[in-house]
Amino acid sequence: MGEGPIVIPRLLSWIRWLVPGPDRAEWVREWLAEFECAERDRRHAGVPSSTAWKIRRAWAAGRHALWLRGHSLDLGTLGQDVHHGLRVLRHRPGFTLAAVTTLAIGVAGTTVIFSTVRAVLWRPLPYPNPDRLVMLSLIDATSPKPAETNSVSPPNFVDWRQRATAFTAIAAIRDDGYALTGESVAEQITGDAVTGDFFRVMGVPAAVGRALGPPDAASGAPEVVVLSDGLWRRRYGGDPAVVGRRITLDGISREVVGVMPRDFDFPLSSDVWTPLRFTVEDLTTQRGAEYLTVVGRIAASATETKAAAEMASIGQQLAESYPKTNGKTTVAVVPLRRAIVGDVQPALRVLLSAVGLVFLVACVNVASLVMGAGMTRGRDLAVRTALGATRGRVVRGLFVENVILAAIGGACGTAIAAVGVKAVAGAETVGIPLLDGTRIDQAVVAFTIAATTFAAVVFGVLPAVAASRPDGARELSGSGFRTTAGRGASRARDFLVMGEIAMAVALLIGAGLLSRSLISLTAVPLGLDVDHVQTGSISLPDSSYRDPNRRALFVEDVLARLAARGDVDHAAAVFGLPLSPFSYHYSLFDLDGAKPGDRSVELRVVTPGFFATIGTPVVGGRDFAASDRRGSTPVVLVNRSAWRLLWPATEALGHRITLSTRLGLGGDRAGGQVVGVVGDVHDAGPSVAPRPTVYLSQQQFPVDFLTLVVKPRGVRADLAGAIRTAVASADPNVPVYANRTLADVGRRVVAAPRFYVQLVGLFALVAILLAAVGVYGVMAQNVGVRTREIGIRLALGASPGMAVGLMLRQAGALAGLGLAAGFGLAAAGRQMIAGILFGVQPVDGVTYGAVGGATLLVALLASWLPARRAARVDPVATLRAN
Amino acid sequence: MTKSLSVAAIRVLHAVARGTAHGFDIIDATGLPGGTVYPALSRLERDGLVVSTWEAPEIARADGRPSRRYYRATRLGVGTLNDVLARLHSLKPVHARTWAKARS
Repeated sequence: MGEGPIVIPRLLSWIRWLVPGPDRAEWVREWLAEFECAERDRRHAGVPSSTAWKIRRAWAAGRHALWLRGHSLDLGTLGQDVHHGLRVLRHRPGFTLAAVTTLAIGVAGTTVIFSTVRAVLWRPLPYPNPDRLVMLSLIDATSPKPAETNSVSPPNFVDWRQRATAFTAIAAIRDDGYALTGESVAEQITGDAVTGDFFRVMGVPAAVGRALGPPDAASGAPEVVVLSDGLWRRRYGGDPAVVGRRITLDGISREVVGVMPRDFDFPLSSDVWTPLRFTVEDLTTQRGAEYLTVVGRIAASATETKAAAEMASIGQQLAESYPKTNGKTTVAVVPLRRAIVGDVQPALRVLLSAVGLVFLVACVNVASLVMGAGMTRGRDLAVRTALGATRGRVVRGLFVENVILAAIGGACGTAIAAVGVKAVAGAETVGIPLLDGTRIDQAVVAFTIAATTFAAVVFGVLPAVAASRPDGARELSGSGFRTTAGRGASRARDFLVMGEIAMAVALLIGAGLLSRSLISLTAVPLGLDVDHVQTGSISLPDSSYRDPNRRALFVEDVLARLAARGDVDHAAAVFGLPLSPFSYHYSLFDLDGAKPGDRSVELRVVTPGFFATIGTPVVGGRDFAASDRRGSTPVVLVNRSAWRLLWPATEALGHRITLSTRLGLGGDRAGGQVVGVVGDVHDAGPSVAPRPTVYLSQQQFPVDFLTLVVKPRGVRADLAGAIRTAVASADPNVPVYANRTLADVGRRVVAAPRFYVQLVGLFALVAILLAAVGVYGVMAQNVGVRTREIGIRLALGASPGMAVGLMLRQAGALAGLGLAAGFGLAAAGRQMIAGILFGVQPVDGVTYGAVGGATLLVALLASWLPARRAARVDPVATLRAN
Repeated sequence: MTKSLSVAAIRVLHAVARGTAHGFDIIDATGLPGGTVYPALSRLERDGLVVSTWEAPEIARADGRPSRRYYRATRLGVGTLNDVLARLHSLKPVHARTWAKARS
């Protein structure tokens, strides 16, 4: 039989699965026989069959099988099922509305959170080969939980760049702000000074003109700038002719050489990029001055592990060469996305799990509703079976109903999600990076369809199968006489409702823990009084304020103008506004004339009266005074934490301290004699302990970037306007930006935790409501089904209270089991939520207790109405009716 | 019975009515692809125009091969076929000139 029988039977045995069951045996027999006979005939005739012939015939077998499969689907009756399903749903508007609403809520919530998580954690960054982009930082090797995204000093950056081989390029970024002046209104914009290789690292060319390159960063090169798409459209109307024009940033005229594409957004929200150049002094004396962000692109020949190993070894070499600054440090190589997204990852995981639970609760609730409906439709189904419908046909009919429900619910849910996604994308204040990229894209739509299909299939098929198994004889025997509920379906429904309660309990516990955490956060005394304090930031252009005296005079002038107003109580200025994301960290250079060891502090520069303005007490010595001017003895203030760190055994007053920063005149190091001690301020937010801080006087060490803080005399003064007026009348070329109240600044610090509480709280509320509806449904069902049993009990002398007790006991048992399962579920998820809690343990007795009590209460309330109905059963009427 | 038949189905039915009895033979006799012939046969059988029977095993065994499935046209099938053929026969060929005239 040649090769035919070897290949063909195997082929046919694969294809046969396409053939519908009833036709399969005959199909195989016919095709095998035809092949074998043809093979035999051809051999007899001396023309053995070619492979091409066999393929053509096997192809024919496949076409035949597909035709049979296609014609076995009875689309006619499917149409009937759809029609019937729609009619059934229309005739039960209450049930349909409940099911569709529930599903819509589940689908909408899941879609919104899924698209958020996708935007923040999963969608690739919009740069070529984004997985090769990393952030490099110098971290404290001795810290048990080192931060992964610390800043880097220029000498360290240059050494890394020279020694590393595992990278295509490494670039440094200095976060900057510029006053854009000269054309229309002066405007403060954000910008970054970047080294020549920055755009090569990112791998993105300019959309118009060119990006910056190494020649731009050479010393003596012309002053140039690249614009972001946003600034280009907002300020220059998207005119390509802007390339070649000159704009003025901080008083320096720069030629615009290019505009970046719209989705190029790195560092986040940058308006312009300028060349970053290092002076000889930067590279020789500033190893401790950590202010650069360093990014790199790993070469195609290397891996992240190899790059990390290489950087660790370079870090080791530098630690040996410069033990003072690099001694206890190592180099971390962190994927760029993780560096950008930072610590929101655990929070988003919690949100995703929470919304997943809501979705499951919604599905279970619909399944329970459908089963309940199926139980009351027993007679309808029994009639259909008695009239000759097969069980498969009945299941299909019920399944089609559920698919219709799922489709409508899914469509409504997607519509709600579209609104929700827009809201999330616009929620900048929450402080989650990349959130603005949240949108409904193909992957999200695919996810929504998958979720809806899941709901329809898993929770549509099960109830359909359960409901299609009515006891036909009993249903048709006249009255549907029964004393207790049908066991199978009602047990399954009890089980579903228990599951719902369990998931709702887990969500409530999550919401409770997050609320307690938020309460702990907001209860932390911050060490300052944010009420009514208005702030506004200024950045003095280098071109006109290079002279420190001018800076000091300007600030004095503005503060004097503000203080002269009748509605201003206090006015001051600070470099490093508390509660804003700001860190200016310096190691000590000298402590009382001795080597200070390896200790470092936060540095702030303030004007006299700053502490009175923000309500922080001076606890020892004195505040800065107007007499602490340039030329007089340099003085500093320290906070309590710095006092404890530096002079744990003695008074702080009178000690001398010098920091390694060169804020002083002519590049001198800054510092002075301690003349006062102030209270601690949680300047990095309530979850971070107050940092040891040294305060310098703005008149002695004038800086060019400051935030004005003003406390009103009354409560209702327009201080934002007052700040603008005062600055503009001192110098119209200095813009005021970030004009907001200190309370607003403080709110941003807890915006993310508040957002999580609100979302998880909303999910938990929805879940417990759905669970309550589920409990109500089950209990109402039970009362309906057990009316006769209750009637008999009442007739035999039981009290109505006993009937209520009977029903409530059942509800209590359901809720108790659900509660236990929910506690288990919540305890299992404790690891996940622990990362975003503050001041509360993940297994917290108070929260568990409160949730337990609330759940039992809700369950009993939900079953109260049905139980009351049970108590009002009239035994005579019930018995007569049957 | 004037259920519409495709040209392929007419040719398959014609071959069966003339005594070509099994699948591969019908493929060879009509020159149609197998992927067309078999679905046509299944459809004709479903519509009652042909019936199929399995060849008696003893005959096949005597011949040293498996039993084949044989198709034969029903009375309805032959009637339908002749009906269709007669109607086709009544159509006259169209000459190029007539076509050009009708188009103008």
